[in-house]
Amino acid sequence: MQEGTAKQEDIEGVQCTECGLMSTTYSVVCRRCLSGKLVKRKFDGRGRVRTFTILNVPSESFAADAPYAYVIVDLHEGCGTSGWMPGIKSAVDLAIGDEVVCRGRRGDAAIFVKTGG
Amino acid sequence: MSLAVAPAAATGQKEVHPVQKVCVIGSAMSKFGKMNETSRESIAATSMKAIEDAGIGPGEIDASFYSNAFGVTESQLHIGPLINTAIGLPDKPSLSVESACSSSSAALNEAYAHIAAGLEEICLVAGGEKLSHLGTMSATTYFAMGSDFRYEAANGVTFPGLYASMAVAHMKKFGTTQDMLASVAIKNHDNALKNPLAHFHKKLTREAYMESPVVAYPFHLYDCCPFSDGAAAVVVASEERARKIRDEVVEIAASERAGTTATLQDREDLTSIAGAALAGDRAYRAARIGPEDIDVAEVHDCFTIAEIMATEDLRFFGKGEGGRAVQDGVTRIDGKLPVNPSGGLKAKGHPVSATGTAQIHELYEQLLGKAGDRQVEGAEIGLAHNVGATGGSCSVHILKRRR
Ligand SMILES: [Zn+2]
Repeated sequence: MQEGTAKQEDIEGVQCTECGLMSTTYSVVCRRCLSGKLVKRKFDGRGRVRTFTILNVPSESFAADAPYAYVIVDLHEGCGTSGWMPGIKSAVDLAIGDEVVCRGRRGDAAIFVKTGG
Repeated sequence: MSLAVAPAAATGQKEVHPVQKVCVIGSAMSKFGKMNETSRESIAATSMKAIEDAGIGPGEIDASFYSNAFGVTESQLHIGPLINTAIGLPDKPSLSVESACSSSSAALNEAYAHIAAGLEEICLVAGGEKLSHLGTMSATTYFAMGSDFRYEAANGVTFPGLYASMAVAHMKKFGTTQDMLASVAIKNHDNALKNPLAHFHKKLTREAYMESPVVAYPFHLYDCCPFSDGAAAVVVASEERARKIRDEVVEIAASERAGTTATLQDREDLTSIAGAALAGDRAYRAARIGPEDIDVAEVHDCFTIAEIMATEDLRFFGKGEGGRAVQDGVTRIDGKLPVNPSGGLKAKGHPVSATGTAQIHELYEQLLGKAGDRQVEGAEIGLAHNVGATGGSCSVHILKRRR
């Protein structure tokens, strides 16, 4: 599942109408300017890996999936988010700065894949 | 609607005017490791040891503060009244404090506040945990509940994984190496050899570190603290009462807490724990000292990178220089600034809710010159740094020997 035309999944979040800060974490007040004027918005799932780890020892609900990567992604639209990258089995397969895109979900997990760029 | 609250930048230190100075007058910890006792048994027994160490009777305790974050795994909540009853204080108030891995330092901060405000004179603070019955998979899952479950655990990350992702960022930004991570583990295993109550009494070699399985890249098994059982307790008193009970007292010169943006994805800097740095700066200011005045530190090394970040956040070393310092031996017991002479969470063990009070126990022993083979020569001022989860809650205490 690399590159190409496969679907891209939007990610839901909020944006502060006062200072513009974006977040995909649940919040009711802007953590930067403390405005309560947050509006819901969607982000397209494209971004860059900010950091990652590769889990060889998973927690229970991912027991059948290890090894896999957990990533923190800086979305190109200017927001941080977290994701799951099944199939990334070692640090050779992933680096900080790699381009990734959200392809869908499994439960609350946002599935990201490399875009090969 | 805009909320009428102070801007985030203004959440600096408030001037506090304690009615009473607060002192540690007794402490104890159980053996850490795989133990048979329930939390209830280990917390009660260790509390009594701390009370005996203080040279008082349980009847002199005015209030108690307990932590047992994973009590639910033993099908028990609300452990306070059980412990109070077990040690003969059924009518005294107890409070359960949960703040993930910083639970019992948060509990100590509560006791400190009660005494400093003049509400109580002598308080008991104790924490403990029984985790070994869970098994690695189940314990890993419970620990993940201390993360932002919806955004972190739900994406497959475990606790080691969260710190591992901070390590990856630290390595990229500062050139921190696997050998520097290994140096933390090796030092703390060496120190634990000198601590009879530590979980591990096993010298760790670089070879054994590298050969151990990778848990969460870049962490090998030996980058991670173990799941331990055990308890630790501290008795604190107003200076006035402390002076009547003991000839030599150890003052809590600072008890400060702060927070960090909860979820890693929202943090500007993944190579530092902002709340720990903030709590540290507040503590230095409250104690009217600087990082250069610290003789010995117990820091929250749940994972090797956490000790490196702690020594930077506390300004023992510059940003990105913590790895080099541990590699060079600066933080060994015979180094310039000994860090985790107890063996730390890494090798002494990490019974979650016991850790905060266990750090205070170690400092108390160090400052009174009772730390045996791991004694830091001439230690007069000690610092304890305890972090909940990935730093959402942070405590820093500074203890000072007073003659
Ligand atoms: Zn804002």
